[in-house]
Amino acid sequence: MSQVLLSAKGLKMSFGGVKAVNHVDLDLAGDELLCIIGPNGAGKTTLLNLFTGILRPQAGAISFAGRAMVGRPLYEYARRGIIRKFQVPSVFSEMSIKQNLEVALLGVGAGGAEAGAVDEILELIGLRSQADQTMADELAHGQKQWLEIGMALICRPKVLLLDEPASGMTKEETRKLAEMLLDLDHLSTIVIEHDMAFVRTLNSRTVVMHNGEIIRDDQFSVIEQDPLVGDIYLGRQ
Amino acid sequence: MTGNKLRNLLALFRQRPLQARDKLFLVVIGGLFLLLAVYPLWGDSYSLSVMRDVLIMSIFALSLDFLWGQTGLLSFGHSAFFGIGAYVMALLTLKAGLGSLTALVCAMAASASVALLTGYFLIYAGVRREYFAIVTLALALVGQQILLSFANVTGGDAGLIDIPFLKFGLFGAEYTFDDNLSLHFLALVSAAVVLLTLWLVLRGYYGSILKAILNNEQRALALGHNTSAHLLIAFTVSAILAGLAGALFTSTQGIVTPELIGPILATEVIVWVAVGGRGTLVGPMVGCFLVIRMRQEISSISTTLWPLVLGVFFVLVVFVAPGGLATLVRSLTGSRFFSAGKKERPWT
Amino acid sequence: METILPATLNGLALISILMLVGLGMAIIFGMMGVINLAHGEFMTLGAFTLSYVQVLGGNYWVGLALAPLVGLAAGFSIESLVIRHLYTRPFETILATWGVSLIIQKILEMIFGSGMQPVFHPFEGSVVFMGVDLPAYRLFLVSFTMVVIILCVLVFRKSQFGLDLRAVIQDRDMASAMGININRTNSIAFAVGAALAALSGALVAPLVAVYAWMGVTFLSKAFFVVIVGGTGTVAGVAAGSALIGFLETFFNYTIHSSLAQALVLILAIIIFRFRPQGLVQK
Repeated sequence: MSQVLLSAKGLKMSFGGVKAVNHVDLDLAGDELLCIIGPNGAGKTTLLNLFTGILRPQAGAISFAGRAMVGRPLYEYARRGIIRKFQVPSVFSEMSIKQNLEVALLGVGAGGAEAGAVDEILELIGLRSQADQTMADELAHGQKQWLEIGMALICRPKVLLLDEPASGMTKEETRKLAEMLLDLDHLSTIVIEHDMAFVRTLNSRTVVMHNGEIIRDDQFSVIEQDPLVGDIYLGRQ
Repeated sequence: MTGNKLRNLLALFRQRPLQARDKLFLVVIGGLFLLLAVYPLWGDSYSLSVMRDVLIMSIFALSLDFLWGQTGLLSFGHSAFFGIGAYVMALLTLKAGLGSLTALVCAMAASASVALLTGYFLIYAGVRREYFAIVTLALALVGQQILLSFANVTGGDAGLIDIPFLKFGLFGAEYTFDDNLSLHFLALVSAAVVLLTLWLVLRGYYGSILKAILNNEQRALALGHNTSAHLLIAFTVSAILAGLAGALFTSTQGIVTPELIGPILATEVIVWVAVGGRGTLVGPMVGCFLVIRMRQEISSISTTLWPLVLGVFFVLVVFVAPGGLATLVRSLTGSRFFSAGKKERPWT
Repeated sequence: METILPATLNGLALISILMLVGLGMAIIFGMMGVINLAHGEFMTLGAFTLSYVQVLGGNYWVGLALAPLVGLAAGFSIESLVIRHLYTRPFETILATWGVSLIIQKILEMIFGSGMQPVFHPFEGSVVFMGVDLPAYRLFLVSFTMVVIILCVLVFRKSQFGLDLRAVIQDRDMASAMGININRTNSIAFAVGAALAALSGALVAPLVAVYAWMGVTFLSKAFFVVIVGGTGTVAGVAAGSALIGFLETFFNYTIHSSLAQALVLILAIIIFRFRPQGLVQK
């Protein structure tokens, strides 16, 4: 059992009276894959925003590798190894694929690193051809997702946060993504997803959020059988 | 640990291999500067003085293009730094009797300090775009007011005259840049050096970082870039270059006036960069030449006419060329050379 | 007492002017979100109106009444010709209004020349208060401004127009769906902002030198009043005007006046850095 890498205690975040995150405790170990599921508005993305420093919790603490993280500047999160992929692909549209990856690499201070890293990732995400010529905004939605994933991976993250990575992907691409996620080691991953088939393929520890709270935290195979979860998704709760 | 940081810093400026576009750029620049180098052969005294003013002003244009074209921050009162450089240089050489090199360094330092101070408060507060523009405009306006009121020091409305020419010690002998030929080459070499340095700096990874911040600052932040620091550095470097241009201008012209710090010049430099093509480095230099020539023609008819033309230009350009002038040229000529930035909001 | 009372009155006069021009700015910038770099020129137009009326032999009151009307007309024209097409493009608005500012300045210069314009007010002498002579004109200015501002607040709160404007600012599409004529509301709001600036220009004209480019000094002041005070509320404009007016008056009396401008600018920037939402929250 690995050590706890990312730890959140008593997180609270409200937006004008709406409790987006309501007293969340969550521990993530190094080398662990975690899925977060839940209906829209459950607070999943807000939680991710808290983990990456975009939002400051109104209560609670977040610690990463033993360090308190709340209140630190945004760029420090990335430099310490917390890397995120956004829900809506957010790439540098007027730069080439290759340049996008280079900028990602430079951000974490790996400027001295070799072009080899870039090539490796290009191979992994399948965008090797035309990497120099194609501008990022010319890519299809699914390809943009891959580019973003590539940009996240090239930073050699310790915690990788993926917000709906499979959206807009074909069945084949989704399969490839699941394979890749399961293959990754030496890092922890949190995946927010709506695509249940995808989550089932991952078959990992899964957390169910509803109304800003964590109501289930267990292996997916157990969660899948839980009638409460079904009710939530069908709006019966 | 510091060795690693240093290596990473240096890596930012590592050059990528030369591509076709770069080679074309170097050829064009080389040709242009070669032409300018032999210009004294057929230019008369007046034309030479105009050309050197243009060359020095083009350094000012480069300073704004570096900031606006690469990071998207528009300094609407960039003449503040030009004027600070000019006045500090003038006062130190004329009234304090300091040597050229010392005064030059002080002039650039003065511009840098003002930029660092105001830039820190603005940039780290997240002030961008239109708000950044109006506060920097206020800088130029207030700068001009200060100069006008301390008239006993700055010469007020009329400014100062008899500013000493540049004097450097070169290889043992002392050399004064006071004749047409030496002034021409001083301006030419300075402009060339600034252009090439900026070009080299921006070709490397550093240019990519700035471009990324321009494109999507939030994303760059989320990837670990300290965007505020980068922007502040760019702002300060831009101010230093503007101060350099101001200092050179006053030492070659021999006079300094409050117009050098005022809003009209601030407006003009924006026009140079917009006309020439924001982000292209060379474009703004050409734009500078074209617009200064136009100003001379129009001002010879009436001095009130030129600011009026500027005003009309600003209003028209927003409606006629909403994609920025570079895009207008691009659509007219179909050339991809003038790719000046974001498609939807090209003025920001 | 001998310097404090007149100084306070001077301060109050400046604050009043700032409030008027700031109110106009608050409507245009704070509420409509339009950055109008020609706002100073509305002031100039008001000052020039007063001057021209008096040059033609008219009296002060006619000039004072005419000034906001000129502002209204200018506001209407500029809004329909320029501003209306740029509502979603703040940066282009800066460029275009800066251009308009230059155009107005130069046209005024072409017509009236670049010299100082003559202006005078009918309030001779001073009023004695607690043993100190206080200039009558400034007393008038402060009281007159207060009345105007109270009127504005009333109109804004109670009138149909005020209601419409608030609806448009809150949610354009919804307001349009409810049948409010967006174009007309924006037009009127912009014009009223311009009229207020023109009025303040006429009021301040006897106290300053009236040149074609006088508007430029007040432009940055007006922005800072609104930004520092918190965009969009009358209380915010009051707070911003009070602070900036007080600082400038204070520095004027203690150190060199242009240095005062610079200090106010610096302080405004610092305040902005630490309270970007302004002094008074919405």
